[in-house]
Amino acid sequence: MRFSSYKSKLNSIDKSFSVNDDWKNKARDKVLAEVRSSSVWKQADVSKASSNFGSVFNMVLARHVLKPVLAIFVIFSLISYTSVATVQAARASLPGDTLYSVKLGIEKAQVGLTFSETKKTELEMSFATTRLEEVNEIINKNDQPEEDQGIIENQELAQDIEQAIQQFNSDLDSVQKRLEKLEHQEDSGEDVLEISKLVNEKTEELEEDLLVIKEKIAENSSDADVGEIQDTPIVSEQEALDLEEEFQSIEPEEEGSTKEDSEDSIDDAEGGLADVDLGTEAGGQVNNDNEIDQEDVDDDSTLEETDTILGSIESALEAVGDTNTKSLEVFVEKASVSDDDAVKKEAVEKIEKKIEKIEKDIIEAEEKIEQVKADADEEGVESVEVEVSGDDQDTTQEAQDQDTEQSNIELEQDSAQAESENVKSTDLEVSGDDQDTTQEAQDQDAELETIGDAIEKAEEKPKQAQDAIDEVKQILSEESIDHLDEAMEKIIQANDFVKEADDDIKDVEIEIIKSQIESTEEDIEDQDTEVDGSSTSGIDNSEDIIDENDQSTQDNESLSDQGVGNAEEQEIS
Amino acid sequence: MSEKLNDKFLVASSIAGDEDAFGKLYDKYVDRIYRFVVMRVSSTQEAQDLTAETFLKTWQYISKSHKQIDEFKALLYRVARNLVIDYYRSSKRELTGFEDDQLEGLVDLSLDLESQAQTKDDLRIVFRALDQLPEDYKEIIILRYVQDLSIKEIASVQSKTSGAVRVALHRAVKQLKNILKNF
Repeated sequence: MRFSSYKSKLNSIDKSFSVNDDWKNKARDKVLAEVRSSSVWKQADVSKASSNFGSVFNMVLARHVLKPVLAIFVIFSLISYTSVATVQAARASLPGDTLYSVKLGIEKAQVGLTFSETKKTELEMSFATTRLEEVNEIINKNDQPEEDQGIIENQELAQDIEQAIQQFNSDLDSVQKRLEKLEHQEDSGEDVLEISKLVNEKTEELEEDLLVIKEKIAENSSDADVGEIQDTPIVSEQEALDLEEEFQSIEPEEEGSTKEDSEDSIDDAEGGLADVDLGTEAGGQVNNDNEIDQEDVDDDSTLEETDTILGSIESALEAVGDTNTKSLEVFVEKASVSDDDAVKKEAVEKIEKKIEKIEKDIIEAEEKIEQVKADADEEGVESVEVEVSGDDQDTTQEAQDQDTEQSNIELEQDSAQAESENVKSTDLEVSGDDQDTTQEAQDQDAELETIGDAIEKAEEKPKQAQDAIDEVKQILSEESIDHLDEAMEKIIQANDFVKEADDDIKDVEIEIIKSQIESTEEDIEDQDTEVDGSSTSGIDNSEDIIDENDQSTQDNESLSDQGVGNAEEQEIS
Repeated sequence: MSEKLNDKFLVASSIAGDEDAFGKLYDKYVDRIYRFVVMRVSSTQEAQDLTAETFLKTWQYISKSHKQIDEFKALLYRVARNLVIDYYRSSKRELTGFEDDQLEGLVDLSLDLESQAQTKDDLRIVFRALDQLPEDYKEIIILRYVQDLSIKEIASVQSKTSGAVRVALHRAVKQLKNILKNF
């Protein structure tokens, strides 16, 4: 054979090879899944000696206000001509860097360029993970805090971490909304199953990461010569005020300004409190030492930073918990209508895992309530009357809604087997409680109730949560894997109960602190004669400040009640 | 030339986060890589796996590397080639050509029967000759005449100089001609 004819054969066979489309598409999906899930923003080892163009970009353009959208166009057009050093630089940037807004903008563009909801959700989960990686990097960079380094440094640090965590929260928010959209989509059950499973598992990881971060920050703050912050039996004043600040900032979270405003006013209040030195350490002991201590003021400021961050971390943990629950909800719903038994078994496993978590939360809530109870005993504030009117209204509404829910479930369970008898009686118990609460609410509509009562009310909730959990266990123990959606409803109920218990007990803590302030006030009046001249004037001033603070704290409280009310109403609807 | 620039842009876009960009690169090159691999490993299943792995590994490489990727195509082939070499080493198989029944799986079934038969004949002849060549000559013939790569591209794929490639190609063709005398 001649070589030329062989050559033409060689040439032609290439075209005649068939490539299996089926395999091709499957492989494509696999490859792109890897592309999507690989953290594009992984720590790029950016050598500072980037190309000239890169550094010019950094210096010139980044100085001007680079809106994210514009930035993307600029970057993409630059990419065709120069090295990817610029993109690399953006990839590695952290909150606080000039290129950080570019990074966020690119992430948003990624989502915009993707068409499927599931893929968007995947992306947003990876962004949330990146946010935590950024926080870790910030912390590691600042691992050796020097004692004399001004508070300014810590403030920047706190702001940067804040920013990352707020982005984190909004990423998770978005994920939750998408999950909801997907939940109500009719078709593509498998996709939704997978994405909800992914989110469910990832949120567990994120929670662990957050807890690690929380520890690190608590450690850092104790290095700075302040008392332990973690697991404070009683909320410190600043924490209490921060919590209220959190409620205020629930709505206008996008604008950073509102938070700053409230932070400013709270700064003033806290400064006043610091002067009186009511004991900001754990244990919340009322300190009758009336000396104004400069050291304490400084410590308080660092404490403030840490508290702010810890507060954000708490809200982040809540967001993660909510997302985890939501993803479980979606997964269980899709699983319960699927034909695949294996999938249903998986759903059961996940529910069991969630039960474990909720039971842990219940125990924590109960322990906290015990502590608060003990402190209330110690301080003798049980009979102190407090305004809790807003709370009651919400409880009434909730009680009504829960009644309806329970009666629905009762009806469903009526058609179940004899075992449901136990469940029914549990139902009766629970609805009994609701009736009591409703009556209580009616009786005390705009009246004062005692701290002791508030504690009692809070005590009920973990019990109710446990009841709901027991019902879920009941459902799961049935032979056939049915009624999964009912189980899920109960889980959501139990979760809500625990959250309410946490919120209620926090409110009680604030009340206790307030009454502590008041009683200290009285003590100060009594001890007036014992203190020397210079301090007296200081005390007079601080008395005024205390009054002001009381006022603002009360204002904050009623606002926070509204905030709580709103949040709860939203949950119900 | 515009093809190279286009590739460059797609690569940069995919690093920047545009997943569709990498999808486009996949669509562009998947057939070629598959065909390159399938001629070397004599199994469609294996070829599919290796092709998928080629893209995965290439993505991992470009997403971690800090260097600019000037020639995506060459990189792809390089990765594919290395995977094929590893496959030989691990399977310890002698390179036997396609069995006759395996040829079935290769041919495009949408062609009319006559063309299919013709293709199968051609394939048999092609493999009969190729299998008699040593591995590196076989590869260079495939890259040059089946995949239509330029000398420069082959040099990049094989990590050799263009000169070395030309010499090797010349020798490979010479040996092939010798083999074909008996056909």
